[in-house]
Amino acid sequence: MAKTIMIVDDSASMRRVVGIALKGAGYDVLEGCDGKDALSKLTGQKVHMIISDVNMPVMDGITFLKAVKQMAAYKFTPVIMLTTESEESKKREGQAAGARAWVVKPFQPEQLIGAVQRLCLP
Amino acid sequence: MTFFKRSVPLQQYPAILSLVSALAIAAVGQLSLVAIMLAGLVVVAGVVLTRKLKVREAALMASIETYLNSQTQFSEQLAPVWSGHIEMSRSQMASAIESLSERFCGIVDKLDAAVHTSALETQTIEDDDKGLVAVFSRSEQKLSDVITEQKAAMSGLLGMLDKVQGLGRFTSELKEMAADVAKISQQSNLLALNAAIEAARSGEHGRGFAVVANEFRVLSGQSGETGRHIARNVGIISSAIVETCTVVREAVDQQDASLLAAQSTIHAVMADFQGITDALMRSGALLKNESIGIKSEINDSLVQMQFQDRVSQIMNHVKNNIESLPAFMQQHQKDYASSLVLQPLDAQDLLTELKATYVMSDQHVVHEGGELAQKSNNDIDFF
Repeated sequence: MAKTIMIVDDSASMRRVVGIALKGAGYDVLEGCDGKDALSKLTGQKVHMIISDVNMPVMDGITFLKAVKQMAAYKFTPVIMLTTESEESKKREGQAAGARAWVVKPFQPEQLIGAVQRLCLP
Repeated sequence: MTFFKRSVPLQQYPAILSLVSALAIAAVGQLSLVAIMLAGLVVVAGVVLTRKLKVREAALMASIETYLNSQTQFSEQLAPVWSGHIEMSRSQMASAIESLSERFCGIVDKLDAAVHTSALETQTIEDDDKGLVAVFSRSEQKLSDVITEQKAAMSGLLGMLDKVQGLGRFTSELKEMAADVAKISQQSNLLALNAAIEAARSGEHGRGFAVVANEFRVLSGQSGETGRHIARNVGIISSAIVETCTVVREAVDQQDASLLAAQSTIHAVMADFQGITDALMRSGALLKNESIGIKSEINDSLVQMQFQDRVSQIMNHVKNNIESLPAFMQQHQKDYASSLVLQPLDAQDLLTELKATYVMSDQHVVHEGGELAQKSNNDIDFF
């Protein structure tokens, strides 16, 4: 059975681009258009990884990440931050909040898939 | 241009100067009539000049207020339009890219379906048991078996023909045997005639022998008849065998020719069928490869669409900065009104505000007036 990865990004085209890369590698995809929307979709089902943007309306990626780490079912779910943000201070903030990797857009699909395969839950 | 606020207003200077001058003239003229008159004239001139200066300064103040107000209005009128256009462009680009990516995704999905179907078709063609190739191979084998069976049947027919032709040799022997019987019959008849003659010459003693001789002659006559009868039947059988052999030979020749024609037709049909199957497999493989190639190209194009996210953020930052321009100009106007000191416009506050919104290193490079380096792949930071 294919593993499920959640993509959180306010840009629909980015969600599609990431989705195509992941589906091409054999993963199932769950989408959220911001942090709040993504949290509402985390209802206890198995999610093997989360890939989230940082700068989003309603709820930003760092706040979302902190909220995910408070949820018992997803406490150990690895989170990759996929963002245009390249400031070191932001990266440190993401690391402190529990992110496992920081990918700066634009990304190459093979790079992202490599990171997913490396960090994805079994 | 900077106007400093003074303890004594500028417009008061002529009045003060004229008063001081009048006092000096009066003092120098020792309060003579001429000196007093001159001092009075100087004071009047000073007052007139002061009033003129007051009017000019009021006009200048009004023009400054008007200028500052026009600056604020200028920014209030332009900023929303610029901002609106940027937002419209950002929104249209986002919408277009979203729509484009949706369509590309649709194409990718359709190509996936096409590749999947093509793979199934190829599998159907190549399947070991039910595939077109297997069916073709089995059909070829079955048709080949039919030809082999036909050849075996014809071989049996030829064997039978050989045996029938072998019978012809026996008919010749039978004819000779019939001739021998006829010859023996003639000789025995001659013998019986001689015996009858001898019996007659013997008289009474030869009567019994004459009866035997007569019976012997009757038997030899019957033998001769039987021999002729055999010869006739052997002739009939021989003719029948020859005719049968001729008919069978013609049938064998016809069957042989039709077998060759059938074999040739089967080979031609199978060759055509093989050609179609091969072409089908080639076109299937080509379609599959092309579909995979197109899908890969589209995926690469989709990856390039990530620029929209970056451009959208940059445009948003610039838009927000432009939108804060009217408030900045209003504050500038308020500062002047409260201090009556006209300060030069300083872009630093707005630039600092804009810089604080940057999320990409490229934005900082552009802000500092630098040149963007050729973009290489971003590394991934693992924590």
